Amino acid sequence: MRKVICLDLWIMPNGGYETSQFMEKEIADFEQTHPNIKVNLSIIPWSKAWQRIITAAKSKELPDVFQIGNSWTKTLTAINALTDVTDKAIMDKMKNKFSLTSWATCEVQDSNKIYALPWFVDVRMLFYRKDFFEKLGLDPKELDKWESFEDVCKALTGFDFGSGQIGALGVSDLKDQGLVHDVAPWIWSNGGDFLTADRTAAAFHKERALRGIKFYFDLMQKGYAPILDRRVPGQPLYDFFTLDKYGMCITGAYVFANYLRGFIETPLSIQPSKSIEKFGVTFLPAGPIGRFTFQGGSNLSISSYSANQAEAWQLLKFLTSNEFQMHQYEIVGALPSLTETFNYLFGERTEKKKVLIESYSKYGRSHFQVDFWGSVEFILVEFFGKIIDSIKAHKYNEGFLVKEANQAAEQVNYILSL
Amino acid sequence: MNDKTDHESKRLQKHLSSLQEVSKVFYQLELGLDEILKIVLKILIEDLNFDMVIIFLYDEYSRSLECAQATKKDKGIIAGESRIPVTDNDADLVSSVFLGKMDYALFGDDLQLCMALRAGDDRIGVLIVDKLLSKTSIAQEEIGFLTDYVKEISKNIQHVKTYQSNFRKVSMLLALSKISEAMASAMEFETALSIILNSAIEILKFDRAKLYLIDKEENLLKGQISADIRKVVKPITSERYPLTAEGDKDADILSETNLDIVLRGEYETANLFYYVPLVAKETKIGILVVDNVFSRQPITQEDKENLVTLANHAAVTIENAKLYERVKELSIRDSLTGLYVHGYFLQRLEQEIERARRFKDIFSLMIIDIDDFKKYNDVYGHSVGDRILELLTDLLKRKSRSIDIAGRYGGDEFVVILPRISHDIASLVAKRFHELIGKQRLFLEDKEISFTVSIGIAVFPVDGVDKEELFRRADKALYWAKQHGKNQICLAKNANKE
Repeated sequence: MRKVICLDLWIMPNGGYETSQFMEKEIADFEQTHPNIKVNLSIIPWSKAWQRIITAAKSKELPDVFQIGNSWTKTLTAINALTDVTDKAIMDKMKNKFSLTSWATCEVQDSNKIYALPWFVDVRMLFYRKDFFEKLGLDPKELDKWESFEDVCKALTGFDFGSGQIGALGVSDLKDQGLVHDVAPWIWSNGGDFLTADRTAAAFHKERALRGIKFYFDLMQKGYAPILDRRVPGQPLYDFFTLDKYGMCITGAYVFANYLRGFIETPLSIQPSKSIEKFGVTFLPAGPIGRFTFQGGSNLSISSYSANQAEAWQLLKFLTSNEFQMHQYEIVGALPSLTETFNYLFGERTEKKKVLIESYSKYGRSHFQVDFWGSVEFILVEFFGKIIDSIKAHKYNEGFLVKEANQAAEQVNYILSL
Repeated sequence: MNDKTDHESKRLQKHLSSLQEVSKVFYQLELGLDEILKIVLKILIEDLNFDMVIIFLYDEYSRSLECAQATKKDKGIIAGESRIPVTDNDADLVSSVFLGKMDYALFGDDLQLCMALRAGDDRIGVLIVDKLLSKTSIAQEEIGFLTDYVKEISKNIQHVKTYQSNFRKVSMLLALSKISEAMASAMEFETALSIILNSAIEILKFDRAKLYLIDKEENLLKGQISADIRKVVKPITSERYPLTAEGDKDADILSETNLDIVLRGEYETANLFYYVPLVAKETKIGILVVDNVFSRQPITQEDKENLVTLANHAAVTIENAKLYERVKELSIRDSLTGLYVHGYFLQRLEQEIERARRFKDIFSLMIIDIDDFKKYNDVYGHSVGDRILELLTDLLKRKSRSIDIAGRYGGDEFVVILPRISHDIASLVAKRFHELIGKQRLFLEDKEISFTVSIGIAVFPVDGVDKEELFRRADKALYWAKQHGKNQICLAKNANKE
């Protein structure tokens, strides 16, 4: 009788409540074609993922295969948590199958070694209610630049379209890495960055970055982007796409599966939801220096401590196959990292696809690959979280922002110095 | 009427049966709390007709209710991302329920219900249910049924947590006992420090550990080494902090002020950083500092207790290692002069021969003998004799290079290995030394005492290729110097010319 290998798989909620159902079905398919392998799935919240993974790495108790943020590769290789899959990737001719930018997040600079495979990519875009805009006589072109964007926010705020007064922009106040991704484009668009070019020191407390941060949080303070007091998973998105509570929302492509099925016509689109006509999508507004959006993504890695390397690689290949990525896009909305799949879905240019493709390829920007970027992110989350709390407590002002920024920068510099 | 009673009875049966299932699930302790709660929520949502059920557990470090598990009707378990800070605000219904200000709270047009999870005085968390999708108000009967679940879940969560905590403690005790075995056998100082720091990282699972020791002579807290989860081990000897307390071993050397000095330049975030003093024989000898700056995992009370246990072992280990080093030093050094003793010097000579042979190098062996030393002891006493020895030793130490190896060979005989030195330079060195000796004076009441030395020099490999031959030739040279008037230097090659 053939021995059955049990693989532990950790992933984060990539499509909110769809994640576990979708993954369980896919895993069942994998197990059918690999009868000697059983997969035990766990879903780790993003807010706990960094801690859980690092803590598990310390104890050498990592799962066989696990999802990582695409900026975590360098850190996890530094603590010897990831298997070098270079040889396997070469043998299976993996490199050219993925987009260059996503492949780069799996490499450790100057080593030419691969420690992960790209799993999916994402990019943030600006969604808006076309019907609200029409009623108020607003032109979506006004969303093109910061100043006019703010004017649109002002016009939308407090307006009642029949379901109560709306907020202009639906934002997440959840204190996790998503907050860093939300703020990032505003920093970049003003010419700032989180770290210096040589990545040895913090830069987000400097003038340019601080102006971008201020612009974003001023939207909250002015009431254009109301802060929620209570949150259940996915609430701002739910409020925007289902409950008519906002005029706009900045979010990723994964909403195509959860809320806007069929919004962007792809060969997979079956039944577009009726409400999609209400929604438009465009680029994030351009700042004084340029237009940027956050380009995220996740990779999949094999634990260096796994006793089942061969089987884990089989699972990795399955989870990064064309078929899986197609299903993942369809159900969860995660954009494929495989070039072929991506081109198949978005190759034909439409106006909406243009926004998606250009947001990703032209304006998309990612975080640095530095040691312990996850720890840096934590400090940034704490910093941005304090700003949100200060806004709630009516204590937010420029002095507070500068003071907290400097304190956070000191902590980041300490981490980078280690 | 009968149909209604019958229906109610069946409903109650189903509810009780579900409760029993929940109770049984909690016995499966090997599943872990996450998995148990997953199953429990599935049972609950099948029994009661809510759209969503979320369990929040209280985290004392963030002072928030953290989503432990969430499940949606027809969707199954979903990943919970929420965190609800606990406030004292009476308008904050969830916090009010958690803090016990009310038994439960119905809100959101009676579409949402929050109940506290509590076991005795222990506040565990809250359970929140809603009917936001079906948009039907939560009925009193449902509140009653949910109360049953809340009681069952509350008491059992405590059991699971206690079990897990005990399991961790036992595992940790086993691990610490292994550490103490390793430490007990660690003699060398450097090895002892490595074991201590590696234990802090690999057994106690901190991100980083740093060890500082007190130098009482210099009144400083000195950095020794640091280690982290990247397996980066580095000396931190440049870190030196003055201690403000003086002298008395009972003084609190590690006062808050001193700790501030230690922490200066580092950031301190609540629960990511901790230190414990190292105490041996009721005396503080240093501190062990740990942090979780990379993982951002809060340091728990359990972590701190484990660290104290480690620190207790560590302090004893360090003291033992220091003692061992001291004994080792004593065994190889002469107690009066501090120079290497006869036996150890010969070991070093053999090593030098091996080195010179391998690299085709040269070195000189110098034997220095105090002329008529016995006379000083006999005439002036041994204390004067000792002072002469000390004077000579002091001069040797001051005038030797760091690579020179000096030893006390006999009562009044000293030996020096001069690596990479030939006849000519050795001769110059000896001459200089000889002159300096000639200028030394001891003052004894009204007397001025001086002394002289004779020196014999042999060079490897010219004068000998093994230690016996080298010694014989150097000794012969010394003998020649003694025979020809003392107070002079003789090279081995010249001692042959008679």
